[in-house]
Amino acid sequence: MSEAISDETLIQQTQAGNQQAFATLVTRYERYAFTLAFRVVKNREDAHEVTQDAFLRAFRYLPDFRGESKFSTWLYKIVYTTSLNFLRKKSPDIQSLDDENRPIQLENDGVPDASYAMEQTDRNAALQNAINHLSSGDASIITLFYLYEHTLEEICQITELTMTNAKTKLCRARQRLKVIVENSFTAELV
Amino acid sequence: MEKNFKLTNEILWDYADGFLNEEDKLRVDAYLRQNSAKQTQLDGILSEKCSFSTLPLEKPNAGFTQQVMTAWTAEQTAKKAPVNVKAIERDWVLWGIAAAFGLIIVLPFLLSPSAAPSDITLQIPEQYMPQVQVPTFDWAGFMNGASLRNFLLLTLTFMGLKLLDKYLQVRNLHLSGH
Repeated sequence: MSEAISDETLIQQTQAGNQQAFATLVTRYERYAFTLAFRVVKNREDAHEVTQDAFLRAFRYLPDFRGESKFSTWLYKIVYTTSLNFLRKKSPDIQSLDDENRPIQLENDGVPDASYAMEQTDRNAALQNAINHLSSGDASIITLFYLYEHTLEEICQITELTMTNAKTKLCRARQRLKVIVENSFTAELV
Repeated sequence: MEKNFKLTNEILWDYADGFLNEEDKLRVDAYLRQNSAKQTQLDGILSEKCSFSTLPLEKPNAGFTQQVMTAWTAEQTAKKAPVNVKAIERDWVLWGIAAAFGLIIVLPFLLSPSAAPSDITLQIPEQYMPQVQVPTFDWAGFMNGASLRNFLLLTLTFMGLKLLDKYLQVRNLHLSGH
């Protein structure tokens, strides 16, 4: 029945020293946190390490959590930052998480997308695969907005982007994603 | 329907994502009412958005929560142990060494004539005054004395051992990955 307990209650119990309450929070958010870390670091083992580290940091800093944002937003910010730090440690010369050099095909308005014609299950598989082929920055913003249904304001809090930048990045990420899905669909047909 | 208004795919996505302001939203609504092709395109976009939200989440290894809690307990144990027992022990040793050094510095001053009461001469009968010897302190003897040398040697040895102990503690922490 742990799902019935609100995040706020669990946070208060954790702040009062109840470790089991934090364990419930970890269970509740482990898949979301792991998915976000996986989108950034692109490797299951690394994502596992990053997610565990992020939860430990969250536990450490939970006494400072004042509830000014949603717990999920606060947690994802920790996961996102920990993932970025992990990537920077792994590849110190990394400049950007974005794939600005990858060309985006111009869309042909009015022509139905090839992806629309796909079956739902095929589309899910293609989407999942395409997200994995996106850059870390694109994959995380797509995941936060469409999968976790966070608002643009919350995404700005997590990623520390400005509203304009976040919106532009989301738009470009979506276009790149569409190109990858369509290419994979075309490749399957050939 | 406005003649200059062109409903692009991007505007449709912004409409679906809720990024448009009220005025633009009404304009798109009006356009869609009179253009079924665009409405179909919007339906496709909404279906695409629906696909995003139904994507399965990645799953961490089994027992992930337990691993996090175990790591947390290990972290807390590593933090608490030296603070509760060893640190207090070390504090006493350091305070002892500091007190010994303080005593070495202060002791000569306590033994020196300036430490004597200033009105002591008034209590001595005048006929004995020339015979009174002013107390002096043998600084050279004190500094060169075997007991002080031994004491300093012992203190330095003790501090050396404490430094070695500290080094080994740090090395053990690194080896255990904390």
